[in-house]
Amino acid sequence: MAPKKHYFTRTQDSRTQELRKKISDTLLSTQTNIDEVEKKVSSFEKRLEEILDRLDDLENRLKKLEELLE
Amino acid sequence: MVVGIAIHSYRGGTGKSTTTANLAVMLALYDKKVATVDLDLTSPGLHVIYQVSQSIMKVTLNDYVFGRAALEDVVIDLTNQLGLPKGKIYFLGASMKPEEIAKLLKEGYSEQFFKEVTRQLGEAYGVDFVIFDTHPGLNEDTLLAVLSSDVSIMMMRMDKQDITGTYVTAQVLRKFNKTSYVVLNMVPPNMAKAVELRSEVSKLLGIPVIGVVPFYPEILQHRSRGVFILKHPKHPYTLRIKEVVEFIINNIG
Repeated sequence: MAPKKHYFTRTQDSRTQELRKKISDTLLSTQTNIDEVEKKVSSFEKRLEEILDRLDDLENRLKKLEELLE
Repeated sequence: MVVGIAIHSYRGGTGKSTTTANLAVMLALYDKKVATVDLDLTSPGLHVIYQVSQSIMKVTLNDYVFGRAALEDVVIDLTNQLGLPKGKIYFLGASMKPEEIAKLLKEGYSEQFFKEVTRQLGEAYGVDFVIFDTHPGLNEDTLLAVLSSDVSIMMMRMDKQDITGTYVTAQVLRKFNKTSYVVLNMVPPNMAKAVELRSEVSKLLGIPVIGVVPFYPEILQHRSRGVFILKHPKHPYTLRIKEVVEFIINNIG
């Protein structure tokens, strides 16, 4: 006997469309304060720049130390 | 139990398909059975990385979605083609035909599709993981895929547009209490060295960062010709992918 094949049946039953409706409602009702978002991202980028500057500084010092030791 | 993972990003070009294929193969190398599903509606491309030509894909995921074909007719077992010593890789490819793309975009996925394809892949192939390579952005169909999966992994590049978009996406996913993780991809090498990077991004997004993958020009030079980690098993990229897979196995699988 051939093994059973698996098919997908599309239904438009309202019970199976609950998540889609919830997604749509959530997206439409979202009140994004874009100024707030940009402020948070900018402050994150500033912190990241500081970290990178520290890292650069550390690498430069290490390089100088290596040169002195040579 | 089959675990559904959605690979998602706010913007295109974050390396979703490349990451999907490499994560799947690495999972297989850990002796897992993995199915990868190309859900990138408007620009399917996973088949290119797997080196499966569209002419071989007589039946596609689109046929299964619309009930025109059985799952078994769509699934391609790539285990031997990829030369995997263990595990299994299955691939469900989407059509590149404009008429098929348009139909799917118009009608959308039905909500039960994601649960049903995951369940059927478990029943027919005994898979451990189903990885959905989704379409970028915050559209309904993509969010349906993300929210119907057990876990979402967001790919993010470290540029302002992507950081801002991922932040907004994370806020939406939080409203649904979705278990999400972030993988930072194509990170500038000097930035990838900063040990605080993971914690700073996690703090901003409110989502754990489970991988930091620096930018490697070799990935670009590879030009999607095959699965990178199989051709370069000792490359640092492969080690970064291994790290993400170990997290998945220990915490999600």
